[in-house]
Amino acid sequence: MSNRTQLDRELASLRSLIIEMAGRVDEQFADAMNALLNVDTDLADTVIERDDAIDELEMQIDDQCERILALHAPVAVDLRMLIMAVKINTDFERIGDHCRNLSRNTEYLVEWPGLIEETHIPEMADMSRCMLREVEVAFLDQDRLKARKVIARDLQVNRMHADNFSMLVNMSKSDGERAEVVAHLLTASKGLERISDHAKNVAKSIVFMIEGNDIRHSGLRSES
Amino acid sequence: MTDNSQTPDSRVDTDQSVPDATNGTADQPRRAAKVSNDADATTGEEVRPKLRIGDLNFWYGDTHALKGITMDIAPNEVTALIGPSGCGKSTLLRCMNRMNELIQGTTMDGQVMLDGQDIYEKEADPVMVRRRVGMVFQKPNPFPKTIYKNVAWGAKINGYTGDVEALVERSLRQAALWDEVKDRLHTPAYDLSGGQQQRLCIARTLAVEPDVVLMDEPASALDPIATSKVEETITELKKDYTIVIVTHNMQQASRISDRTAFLYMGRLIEMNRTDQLFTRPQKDRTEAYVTGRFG
Repeated sequence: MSNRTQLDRELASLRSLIIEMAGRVDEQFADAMNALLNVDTDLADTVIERDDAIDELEMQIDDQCERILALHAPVAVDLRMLIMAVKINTDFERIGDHCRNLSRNTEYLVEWPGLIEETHIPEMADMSRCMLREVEVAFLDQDRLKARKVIARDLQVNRMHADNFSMLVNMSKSDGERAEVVAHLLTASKGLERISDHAKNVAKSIVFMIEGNDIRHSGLRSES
Repeated sequence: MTDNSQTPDSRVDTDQSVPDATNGTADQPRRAAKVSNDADATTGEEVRPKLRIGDLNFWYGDTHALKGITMDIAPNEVTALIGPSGCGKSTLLRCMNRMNELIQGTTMDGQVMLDGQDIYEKEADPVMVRRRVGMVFQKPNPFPKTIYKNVAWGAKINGYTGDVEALVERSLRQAALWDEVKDRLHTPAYDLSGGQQQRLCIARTLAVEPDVVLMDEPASALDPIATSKVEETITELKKDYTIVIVTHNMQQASRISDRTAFLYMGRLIEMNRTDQLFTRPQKDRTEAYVTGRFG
């Protein structure tokens, strides 16, 4: 078997692991949000329990990247694939952590049914889910335009988080009894904002892999 | 008799219009890129090339081995020529010091300028050209003489009037061999290991004080440790010399060269800073080659 064939196999295996990771994180996110929005503490506990499997998968992906780098010394697009894999692996794992944290907020909403509906959290959840789905497809199809579309969506999530922030601060000021639940809603809103940031990072890494352009921190360098 | 002085206008290849003027390239760029072979990347200043190759064509009989090669070799840098077997990289290397003239039935046109002087012009002396542009070959080929005589030989036949002992020591030091042989300079060169013999050949080349050193797969016959020593030597040498190396080993090219030129079927496909060529090649064909997808 030629080295190239072997490398192609190793890369295919890495791709499968990343696709599995993306799928699991997507499922965690869906369940975490359903738990939060429906105040379903059982589902929230399931999400918390499943986080270990994501951590395990993160290590497996890192091992596979290390193995390919050590044995095949890849260059050009193969090297960019590896760099991307290491980075998006971390992003996905962090999204998994945020899902776990969102689930931990669930129990504090039990005594305040319907309150979450007064915030932008449900819309943020829809938008973030959409971003996660789109990065998955962008990775599967190697579609740089789709990846770039995800980046634009992050701004909308950021705006909704800013609106939530002022609204929840006012709510806390006007009704001291709600202070604790408001703190948890703020945490959840921030968590969603971070999840969309990570989805954006994944999208930028995908663009880097396909185009060879580092589009992070725009303004520091002009894209070539 | 070689036919090398012939410059047949009628033999201009019709494909020559494809390569661009600076670094003749045969593919369309995949991405817009700021690629410059002329400017120093760190200062942005223009650096006068040590060697300037202009629209070079070369034939072995009817076989068109080099097609419209245009490239600049920057001074005090290591330039690597890579490409699949038969792509013309060794032929191109040999054009840089008129070694191809020694092969029967070859024809060439185009220019090879060394410090602005065409090495193929009528007045140019091929012996002088080869003194200024030395060559190290794939297999170590020391003379069946002592280490000392191997290094001193070239200088002596060139009428060197200085201190030969000092020259031998300096050359051996530059080739990173001095410490290993200083106590046995008058023992046979054949007693040295393969890696030491190759560094001796480098020292022998340096002893005639060239400007440019051409290396044709200088480490391909060596084990990894000897290869590593030769590579370290090459990296050291670029302070004083301009180096052009042909290598099949892409990791070697990426380790030691500042710029890399990728040739395919007699054409220069892409030439760029080595880090760029191995991370963001501009041409699909280069990417396919460096990633091992073809060739």
